[in-house]
Amino acid sequence: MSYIYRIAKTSDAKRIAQIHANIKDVNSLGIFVLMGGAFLRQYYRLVLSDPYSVCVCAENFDGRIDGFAFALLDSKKHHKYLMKHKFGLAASAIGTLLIRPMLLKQLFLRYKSLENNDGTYATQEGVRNGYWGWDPDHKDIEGAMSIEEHIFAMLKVLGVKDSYGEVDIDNPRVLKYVTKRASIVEEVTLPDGRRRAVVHTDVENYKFHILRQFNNK
Amino acid sequence: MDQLIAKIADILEENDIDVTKKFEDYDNWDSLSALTLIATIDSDYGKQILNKDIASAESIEAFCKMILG
Repeated sequence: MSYIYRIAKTSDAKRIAQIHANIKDVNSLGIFVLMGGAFLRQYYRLVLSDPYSVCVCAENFDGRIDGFAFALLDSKKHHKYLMKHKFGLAASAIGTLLIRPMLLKQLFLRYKSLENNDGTYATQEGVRNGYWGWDPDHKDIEGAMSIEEHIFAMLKVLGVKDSYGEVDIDNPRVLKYVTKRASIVEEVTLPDGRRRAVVHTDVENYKFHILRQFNNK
Repeated sequence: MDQLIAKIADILEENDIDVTKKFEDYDNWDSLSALTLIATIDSDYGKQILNKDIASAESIEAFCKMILG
């Protein structure tokens, strides 16, 4: 299928959150999916309105978004932005926390990490790979690869040379794919016991598969 | 060819694979496996393939022969 690739706007938050939630079989370990739809929608409203984030989405000719990818140009400023809007984010979590109170501890640990900007859960400064996802109900392998490449192409155009991200080691299938395009620089154990790999993407020399015009000569 | 078959088995999370079968005959074959295979062929064999190249292969063996020329 052919797609229109465009910059995602705040008005796309609902659909992007829905896609993120649909990929829970791959991301069942992550707290974001467990936090539910309202939290995800509010989170993506913040991601899409943050001046230091870039988000690309793939829209089909019926106007339905099937995939998206985002990156943070400045993780530290993004964390500050989230903290500035912490009450809205917390309010969106109340419904889920009432049903699943055991998530409160995990959420609190994430919050303290964010407040202290200690990098326990996520890269604390510099450029960071955000989330990348494609709706499993509308599979398109080339589309999924392409959306990932679009975000790195955008970073490259913006002069970014290196980008960092995190992958759960206990999610070996995702890790296997990611490490074909990025390298593990560190392994950390989170306070909840999960093991996480910090991965580095060489944006400057990134090998584009679909968007070949961006390849270095 | 053994090396490529081993990489495919790893992607499929199988100890041994029957190369006369198709990729989709394996339970673990899904879009993430396809993405990983495309990325593996690109990074380890320097060849850029598309999903249709995988889908059109009559068997895993035929796919390997196509990649290795």
